[in-house]
Amino acid sequence: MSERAAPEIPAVDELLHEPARLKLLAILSVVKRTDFTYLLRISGLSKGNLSVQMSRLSDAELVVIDKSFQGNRPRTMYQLTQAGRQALRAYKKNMLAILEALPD
Amino acid sequence: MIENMAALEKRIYRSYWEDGLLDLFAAIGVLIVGVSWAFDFPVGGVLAPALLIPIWRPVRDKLIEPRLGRVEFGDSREHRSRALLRTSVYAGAGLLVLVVVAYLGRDGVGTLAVADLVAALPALLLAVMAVLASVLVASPRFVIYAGVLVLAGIAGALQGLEPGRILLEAGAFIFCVAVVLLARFLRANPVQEAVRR
Repeated sequence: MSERAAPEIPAVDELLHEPARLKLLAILSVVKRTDFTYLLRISGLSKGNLSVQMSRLSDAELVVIDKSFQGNRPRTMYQLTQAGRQALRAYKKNMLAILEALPD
Repeated sequence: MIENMAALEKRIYRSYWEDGLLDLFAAIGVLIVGVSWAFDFPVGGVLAPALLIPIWRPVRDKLIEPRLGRVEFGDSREHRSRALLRTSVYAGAGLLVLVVVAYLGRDGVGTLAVADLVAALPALLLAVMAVLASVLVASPRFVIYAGVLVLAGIAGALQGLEPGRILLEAGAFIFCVAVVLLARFLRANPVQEAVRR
């Protein structure tokens, strides 16, 4: 009797699987770039949490950070990198595959 | 749950315009056009964009961005906005010429009712611009302003008011709404302290 191979479960990127980071990446995926204050407002995260999550995304090179000054105010702009866009696409594909395989 | 990314982008884009500053500029524009008509110098209406457009960015940078933050939208949104803005400017200029010609030639119009309604034309022209602005900023609020302009135009013209007076009244209403929106935004959004990583 032949054994049936277990269906292969796609790997989920754990960095993206965290709700706050996923939310931030989703926001960054639909705009060209945005600053910290705008992300703070639109995401609803706390300053500390946003700062930590953006650091993680930046360390993973999913997001690029551009620091500058506007007048005497520091401005930090965030932009999704190509790698970030690909990671988001792969995450969506894998999650859809997993959800599709779930029984009703 | 956000149904798709296009909806998310639209929601973010719309929220970018909800502070009331654009409403205030629009109201001041209507008031400038109204004053120019009131002084029998309708072409002076072109002063509105000439005065307001150059100060838009500095005022927004100073007043709104420290509170709201800065966002730059994708190329497709920028292209769409620019194309619509171009269309609005051409349509506005063309309609302004038509309105001025129609208003100056109103005595030659056959029936009295039609001649009376000619006074509503400047308000109707600005209503068209408000609808275009509504599409531009993805906000139904400007459709309401368009409705106000249409109502003020028709009601004012039927009461025999001059175009300048009609525009000043409609502009004053939009101005009040804009001030309330802006005040609410400024109160609810104090300037964010800079956060550095």
